[in-house]
Amino acid sequence: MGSYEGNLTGLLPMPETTAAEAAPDRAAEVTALVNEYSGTLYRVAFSISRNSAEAEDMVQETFLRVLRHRDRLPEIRDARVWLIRITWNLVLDRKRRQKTRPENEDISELARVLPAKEMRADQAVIAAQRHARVLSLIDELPAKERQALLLSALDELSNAEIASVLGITESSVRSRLFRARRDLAEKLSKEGLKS
Amino acid sequence: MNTFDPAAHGAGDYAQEIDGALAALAGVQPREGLEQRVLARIASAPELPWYRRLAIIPTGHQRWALAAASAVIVAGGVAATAYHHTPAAAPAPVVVQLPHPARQPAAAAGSVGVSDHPLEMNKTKTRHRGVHRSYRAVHPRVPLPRGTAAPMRPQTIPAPQ
Repeated sequence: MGSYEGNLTGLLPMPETTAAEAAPDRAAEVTALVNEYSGTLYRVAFSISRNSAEAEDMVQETFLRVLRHRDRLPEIRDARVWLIRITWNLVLDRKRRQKTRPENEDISELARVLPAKEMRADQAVIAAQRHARVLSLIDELPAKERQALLLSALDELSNAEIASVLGITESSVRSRLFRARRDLAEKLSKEGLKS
Repeated sequence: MNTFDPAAHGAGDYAQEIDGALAALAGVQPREGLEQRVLARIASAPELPWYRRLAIIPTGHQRWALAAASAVIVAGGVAATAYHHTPAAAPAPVVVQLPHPARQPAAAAGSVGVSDHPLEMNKTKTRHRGVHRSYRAVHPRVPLPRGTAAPMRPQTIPAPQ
């Protein structure tokens, strides 16, 4: 996967815009994007980083990139996919640079951020531990399958949109999702982790 | 979330486990006020010119805070200008008995005056106690005043530590 700049320029057809005439509305446009998509981008970033502060940092970084390219905003066909793609590449890029960083195995942190649907405290901790274990097994999957699976977890994204974010075809997304789930089920079977 | 048929994919009983974990991951919520923090970060981005930052600042009270801060700065600048332009503003300092600073050798030599003639080095030993080979530059017709020490050669000045 290329850098976010490469993907950004791939999404944008390099228009000949005059910044001066469009400038007044750009700030309001960026503000509207922040208000609408911050939560989605946070979840995208968190699915990779598993760290609240880092995910938030990535969201902020995403909108800084958007601001730098604000004059091209009118050319964007699907702002949501475009933003997710920027965040996704930023997070992957950071993760690549932080290879030495240990994986986040802090169950209490995960239990704090993972939603517990009206569970008792002890049930929530147990559920968080099970989820954390599954997520750690997801991290062991090959990168292509893992990325497709994590993006599929987001309610907002269809297979076509996942394909757009990853820069692959929709059928590739389907096959990657199939392999990811199959391999994950095998891993869970070996671990004996069963509900 | 994308639907997944466990029977068709052979994932069996683990589909629920997988979906549960993915649903939990997708349900993560950021801390309160993420949008405000993002907008604040954008507004303080150093790569943006100041007028762009002003355009990004979202809420009314922040605009008022910025306007108030600007007013304080302007008022302070005006007050400082008025102070400096008032002739009676600065009182004359009170003269107190202070010890005179020691005259520096360079200043003492400077008070002698500079000759138009080329100077020759007087390498003779002086009869002053503790001063020998001063290498002072002396014009033969203009002797140094009595008790005036000539500046030392640059090589003799110890380098600062």
